[in-house]
Amino acid sequence: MRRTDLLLSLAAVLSAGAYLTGNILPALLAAGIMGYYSTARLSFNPKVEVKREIPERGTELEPLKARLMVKNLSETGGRLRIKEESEFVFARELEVSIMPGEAKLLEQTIVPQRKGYIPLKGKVIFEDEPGFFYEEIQLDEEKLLVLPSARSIREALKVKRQVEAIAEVEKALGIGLETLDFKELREFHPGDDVRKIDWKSTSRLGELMIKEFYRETLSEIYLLINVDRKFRRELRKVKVDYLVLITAQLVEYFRRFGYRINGIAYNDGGIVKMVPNPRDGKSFIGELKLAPRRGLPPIKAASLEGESLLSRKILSLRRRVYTSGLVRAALKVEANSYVVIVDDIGLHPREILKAAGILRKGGSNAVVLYPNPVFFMGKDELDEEKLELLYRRYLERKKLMRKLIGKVKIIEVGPKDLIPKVVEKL
Amino acid sequence: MIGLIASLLTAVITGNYILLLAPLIYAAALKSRDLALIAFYLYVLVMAFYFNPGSIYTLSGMEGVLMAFSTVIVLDEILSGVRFRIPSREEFLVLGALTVSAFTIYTFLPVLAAVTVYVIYRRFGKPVLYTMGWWLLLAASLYAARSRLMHRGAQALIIVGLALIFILIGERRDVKAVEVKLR
Repeated sequence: MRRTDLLLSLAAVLSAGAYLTGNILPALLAAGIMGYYSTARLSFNPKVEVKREIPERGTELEPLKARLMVKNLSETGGRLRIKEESEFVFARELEVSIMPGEAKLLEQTIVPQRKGYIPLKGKVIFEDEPGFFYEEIQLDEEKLLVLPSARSIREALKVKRQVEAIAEVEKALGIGLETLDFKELREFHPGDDVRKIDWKSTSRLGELMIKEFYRETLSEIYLLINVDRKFRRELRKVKVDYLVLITAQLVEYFRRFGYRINGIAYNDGGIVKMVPNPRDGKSFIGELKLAPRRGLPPIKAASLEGESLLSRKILSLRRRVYTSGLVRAALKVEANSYVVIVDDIGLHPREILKAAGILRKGGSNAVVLYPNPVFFMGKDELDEEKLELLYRRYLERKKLMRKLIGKVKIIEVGPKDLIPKVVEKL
Repeated sequence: MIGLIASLLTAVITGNYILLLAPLIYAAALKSRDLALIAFYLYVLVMAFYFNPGSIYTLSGMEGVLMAFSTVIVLDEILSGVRFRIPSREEFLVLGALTVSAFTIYTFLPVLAAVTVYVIYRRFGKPVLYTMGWWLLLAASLYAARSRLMHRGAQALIIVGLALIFILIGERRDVKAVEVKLR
């Protein structure tokens, strides 16, 4: 029930009572109440000016102060309630009394509840002094950049990632489905499915053991590897770059299960080398002559639309090639194969889509193993400014990945997906 | 505070001691505005039917007008929030004028009317002119029809009818109303 309804119902009761009992006091009281209500209604003409200044950026779960300049331009005073309706922030409601013509400077504490760009939806409610009527004023929607807090980063680091990138690749390709026929028991290798651990033999031998089953087919796998220097990054501790590690790891993994591998190395200009059936990871790396590269890889993702037609033509004329290395490599793949493309989706997303289309047409099943360069940045190189830039680039890359993922399977890898055993061997 | 003192003085002048219950509404207002509004509802109902003044054209009828004025001031104060504080200089002057004029109904009535205008002006500003215009219209109508309004029921009908016209004028403005919440 509304306050005004309560008062008007009282006035109605009094009016009826006055007429029926022939008593003028209830009539006078009813008239007084109705007069008060009408004057309040006639005077209610809210004009409130609200300006909110929000810091450009904040940190996740850490309070930040928004400054509000409120001015009552109406002829009556009232109460102002300032609310924040965005579900992504917590903000305590502010309530102040404000006289006609008065200006007040307020501070609102906002606690962002998640990271990224979050929309802020402020609302101001002006209520008249007797509390009969109100008016809602919606503030302009603003965006706040929220960076991850140091605490959340520390906590995330504590939780060990259980992503087994190579096993994910195998699952995404769907190669050689396992039968129910038992083959052997073998030692557990990183990347193996933990559900396959045989606990009886593990407890007996004191070492993790895996049950191996026969596979239906042993298919050919093509590894399409971008060896362009833009895609390389030296890892300080091990003096090798992540491309070398990932390539070696892939070869080792698939060789162990008996798959036949064909390696095709390419760069922006074309195919660099084709390596049919390498013996092991180390020899494959040797044949490709992959040496660690220093320097910063481009972390800014290219747009999916790519360069304009004219600039593409000029570039191809300058390079004297009309098809990119990746597309050429895709054309070399035999029909109905399994293909792993090791590339950075941020370098040439358009080409990746083209290659994926070519492979799909040829009946091949392709997956992109995408080492995100943002994950591979060394901690020592980071300062506050770089961290923010890196975060922006990370968000751009995530956005691009979301766009591509409907058209091609992508598996994102970071340094934690590199197997220490492979690193040691190299 | 003005409403409280006005009610107490009106209670003494009119002999309607129900008005002495006004402090209870102020106590309720300290807890919550909506609770005070409900207390006010009961207070007005009891006051209205406990006391039966004579015709509006008599001195006894003027006592009813006094009660209506003091009730409006009480309503304004409980809705705007009751706080324990030292009254301002202006309020001291108003309270002093009320107390000094409370010796006879002839002085108290115009002073209380002026105080009501002051309270409404302080709260709502210029729209107090509508209220004053409406009072004048009511007074003029009652005066003009004095020979035909011998029965008090008829007088009540005219008062309520003119108040409804004032409500219709107020309804011109489209507003959103606040809900009653008892917490």
